[in-house]
Amino acid sequence: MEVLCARRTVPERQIRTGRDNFSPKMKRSPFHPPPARVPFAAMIEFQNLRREYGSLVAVRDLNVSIPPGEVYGLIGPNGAGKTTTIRMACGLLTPTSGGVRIADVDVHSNPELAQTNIGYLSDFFNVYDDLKVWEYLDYFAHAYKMPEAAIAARVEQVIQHVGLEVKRDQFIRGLSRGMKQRLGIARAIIHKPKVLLLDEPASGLDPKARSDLRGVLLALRDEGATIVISSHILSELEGFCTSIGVMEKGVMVRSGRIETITEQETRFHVIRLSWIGEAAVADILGKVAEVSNVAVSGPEAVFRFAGPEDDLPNVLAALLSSGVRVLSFGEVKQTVEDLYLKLSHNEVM
Amino acid sequence: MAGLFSNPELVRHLRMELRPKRMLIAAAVVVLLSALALMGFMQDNAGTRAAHDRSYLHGLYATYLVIQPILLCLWCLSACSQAIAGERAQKTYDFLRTTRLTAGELLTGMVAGVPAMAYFTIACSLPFSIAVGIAGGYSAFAIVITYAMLVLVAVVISLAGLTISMMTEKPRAGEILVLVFFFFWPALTLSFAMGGGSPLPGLSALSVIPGILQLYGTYWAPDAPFHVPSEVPFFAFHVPFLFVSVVLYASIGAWLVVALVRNLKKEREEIRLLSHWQSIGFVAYINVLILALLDIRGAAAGSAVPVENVATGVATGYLVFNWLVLYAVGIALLTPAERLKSWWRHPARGIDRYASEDGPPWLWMAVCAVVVLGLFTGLVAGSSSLLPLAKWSLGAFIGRLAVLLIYAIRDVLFLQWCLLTRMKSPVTKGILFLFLYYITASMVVVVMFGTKEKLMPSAFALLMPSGALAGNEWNTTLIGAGIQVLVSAVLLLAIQRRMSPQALTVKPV
Repeated sequence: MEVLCARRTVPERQIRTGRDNFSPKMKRSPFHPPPARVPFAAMIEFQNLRREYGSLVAVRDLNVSIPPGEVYGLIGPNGAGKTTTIRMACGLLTPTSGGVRIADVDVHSNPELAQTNIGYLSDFFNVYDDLKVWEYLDYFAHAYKMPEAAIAARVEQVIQHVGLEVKRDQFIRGLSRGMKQRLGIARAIIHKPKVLLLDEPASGLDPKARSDLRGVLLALRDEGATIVISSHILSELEGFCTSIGVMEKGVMVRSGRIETITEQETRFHVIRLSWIGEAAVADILGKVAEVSNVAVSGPEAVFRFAGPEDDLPNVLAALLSSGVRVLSFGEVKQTVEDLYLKLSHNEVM
Repeated sequence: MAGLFSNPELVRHLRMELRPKRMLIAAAVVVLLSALALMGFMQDNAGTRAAHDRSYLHGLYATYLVIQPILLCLWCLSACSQAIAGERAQKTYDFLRTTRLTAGELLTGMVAGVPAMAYFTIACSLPFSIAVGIAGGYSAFAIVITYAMLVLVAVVISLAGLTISMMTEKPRAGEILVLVFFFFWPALTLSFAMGGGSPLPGLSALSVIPGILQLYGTYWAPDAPFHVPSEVPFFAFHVPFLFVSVVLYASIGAWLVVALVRNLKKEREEIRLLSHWQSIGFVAYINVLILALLDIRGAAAGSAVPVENVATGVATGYLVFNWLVLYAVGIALLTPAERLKSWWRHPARGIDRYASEDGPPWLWMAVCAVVVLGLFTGLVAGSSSLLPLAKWSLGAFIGRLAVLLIYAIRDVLFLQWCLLTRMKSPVTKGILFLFLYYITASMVVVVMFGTKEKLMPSAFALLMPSGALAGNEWNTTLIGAGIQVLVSAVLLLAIQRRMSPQALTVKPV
């Protein structure tokens, strides 16, 4: 078996239906330490995954491998097939054809073993209002067949992790929506799964609850969990995902690490510039061959630079030598939303 | 038992249902009502009653025996029929399905836990009812058997409720079925014993009340509109009524457990009640059960009709019953749309292709019909005294069964086609369409041939299996069967078209 992110030999058809840009050479985020060595290259593997509802093809021959420790944002408009994909990944829905392997276990032929590795959270869900917070988590710890001796300590640990210590002995019916969502996260991680499958987890939450949820998920990411998170609100995924998959009408139009996709999709750099005083910035920039689309607004300008990244200092030097008192000069980073707009076929979000 | 109480699902329900405050209130209400009832019965005719007269205790005990079963059974059925559908509606059921609990563990926890408060309430009243029964002079054996039967019936009703809940989309549908069930079941079961001329008197044991009454030396009044015997034939042996009740409830419960364990963790659209082999087992079970309970001589003794004619009627009834069984099995075997597509697009080779669980149901219906035929032939060959078929031909039986099978397969094929469409509740709508077909066909025949008495049976035999059921009009029945084979072929083609993959609409980058 090859190292971390390498894909197995992919048949031509698979490459065609879902490009996958994971590379073993990619840099990891400093907040995201490499996971412990695992005996399999892909933590999650969709193999020709297909699901139909009557004549509607909700997911069409999906082929994606997600390495361990990755935070994978599944994005696409409503009805793209994100929820169906996640439901198949956690074993709730049987595929029409193809399969899902999680931690090298086939989810559909060996469901009970596969569930030891899977934590699942859906968008809108309810919890058992007549249970107390600790009872709810204790129930799921037993249901996941954790060792009896470890359950009490794990329940306390998870309650602390999601910040529900003060609510430990309260009935769930008294919790706010945001707290219930945190309890849902606690339930999903109670059995220490290797993979978290989150289907629009921030739906219906207020900004504060969203921010709290993001904090909890960031902590889980930093602990090395492999997370698949679906959303059609792209700002939710900004700065959080290490890779994305763009789905439309059941087809994975692009999948891979954000840096790689950005690199491949970016034919020019977008530069933002500000300065002090009067300067004919547009004229100066107009003389640089690789510069285009200069938009000046007061003491600020945004322009496109089509040359290599190494030539960017020359542009700055040209400005300085022309007497422009440059205050700031930097590339505008592409957001997940920018990437999505480039990759998508303009489906409705 | 220790394993049962460590079942997480049971523990969850016990925690939810049996909070100390709720338990205290329930116990207090039961104790109060029991004390009031005891005082009421003691007060009644207290002046005129002799000191050793314990009849008031009999009355009180009988009151317990009426209230406790009604309360427990209704509570179990109501709670269980909403359990799964309710969790689905609340979106909590998916989380249960993604745990490592097996379907068997989930089922055990639900059966014992969902009606936990009902069991607790009855348990609170038990010391009173048992004490009253013993003080009233009833044997401990009768009392223990009575409550054991109550628990058995409650468990089977809970299983039935869970099955309803597993299959219905909305909890309200389960509640409606509960009411229908409770209104019609006693009437249906006692009708088997009506008039004493039934060929299946043992089926009345589906109602446990007569058997329980017999434990206390109370038999059905001779002048009642129906007669319930103290013993019923079971494989030609006469056994106590309550024994047959136990056999019926235990076996029905076992089949419900098989269906629930198979489907409890599945998506509702992917539920198929029984596997192919389980269906064959079910057909064998239900036929063996019917043959075990058959009492032709008893039925003939109660009427003026010769035993040969009764046997002929029974054999026709047996045929009709098995036609309905074939329909039921066909519906239970309908392959979920996505499974059938999977089977169609990635077929196994050789015998595995046909033995696959994702394969179509019609071949297995034919196997079920062969099982029916084998059992019936065995009965005829093995026991001419039980089923004297002087006016009956096995060849005719095979022909009639084959025609009925063709009609059943055609209708099941239609239902399978409905499943492959995107219509909502496809099976229910398909069954309604089939009813519409039979009603329309009947109306057309009556309107067109109403005045031509000789032509009407032939017209019926052409469009419906009436010829096979009545055993006449063979020529038109066979032509009709041929037409149904053609219709089945068209349905097969339509099903095939539905299983082809759709064209790609979005291209990957």
